[in-house]
Amino acid sequence: MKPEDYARMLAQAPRDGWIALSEDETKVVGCGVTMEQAISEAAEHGVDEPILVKSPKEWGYKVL
Amino acid sequence: MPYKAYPLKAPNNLGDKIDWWPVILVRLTDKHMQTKTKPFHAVVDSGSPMCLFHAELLKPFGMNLKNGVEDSLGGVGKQVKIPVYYHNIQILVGADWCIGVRAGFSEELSTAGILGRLGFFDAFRVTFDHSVHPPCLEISKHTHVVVH
Repeated sequence: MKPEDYARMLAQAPRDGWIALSEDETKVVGCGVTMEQAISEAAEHGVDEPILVKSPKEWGYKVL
Repeated sequence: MPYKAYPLKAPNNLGDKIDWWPVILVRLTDKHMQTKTKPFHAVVDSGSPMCLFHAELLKPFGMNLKNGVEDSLGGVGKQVKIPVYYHNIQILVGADWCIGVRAGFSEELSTAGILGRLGFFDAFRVTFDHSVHPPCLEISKHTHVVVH
C-alpha cells in the first residue's frame, strides 16, 4: 500500500475516536468513539487482532 | 522500519499531504502477561520525558484511571496542561521485548501512546534517520536495562 493511500485511508475515517485496521493495515475494519466500539466492529468483520489507531480531532502537525 | 504516513488536513509548505510519524506497534500487558491490549500505534518521542498512554488502554486490565498517582503534564503551549495518572504497566514491543514502566495515562491524549525517555529510551537504542525518504527508525535492545 502506498503511503499516500495509507494516509488517505486514515483521513477518511472518523476523527476524535478509535480506528481499527486489518492486521496488514490495508483497510479500516472498525471505528468508534471508544476503543471497545472499534474492536467490536472489527470483530464483526472477522478481525480479532486489529491494529488500533487513535484519531485526533484534526489531523495536522503537532508537538507532542 | 519506515515512519508511518499520517494525513495532514492541508498540504504543508512543500505541497505534501503526509506527515511522517515515528510509530511502532506495541501492546500493554500486566506483569503476568495474562491480559493484553490489542496492538496499537505508539509514537517514539524523545521529546517526551515519560511514556504516556490514552486512558482507554487501562480498561482491559480493570484498572481505575484515577487510582493512579495524579499529576499534570504540559506541552509547548503555555496554557495547555492535561491531567495524567501514573500506573505501573508492561509494554510489549514486538514479539520478544517486554519492559516494565511507570506510565502516565490520560483521557486527554490525542494519540494512543507516546514512548518517551523514561522507561523506553533507557531500555532501547533508538536511531532516527531523516536522510532517507521516507524517514525511518531502528530500535535495538540495550544489553543492560535501567529498572525503575
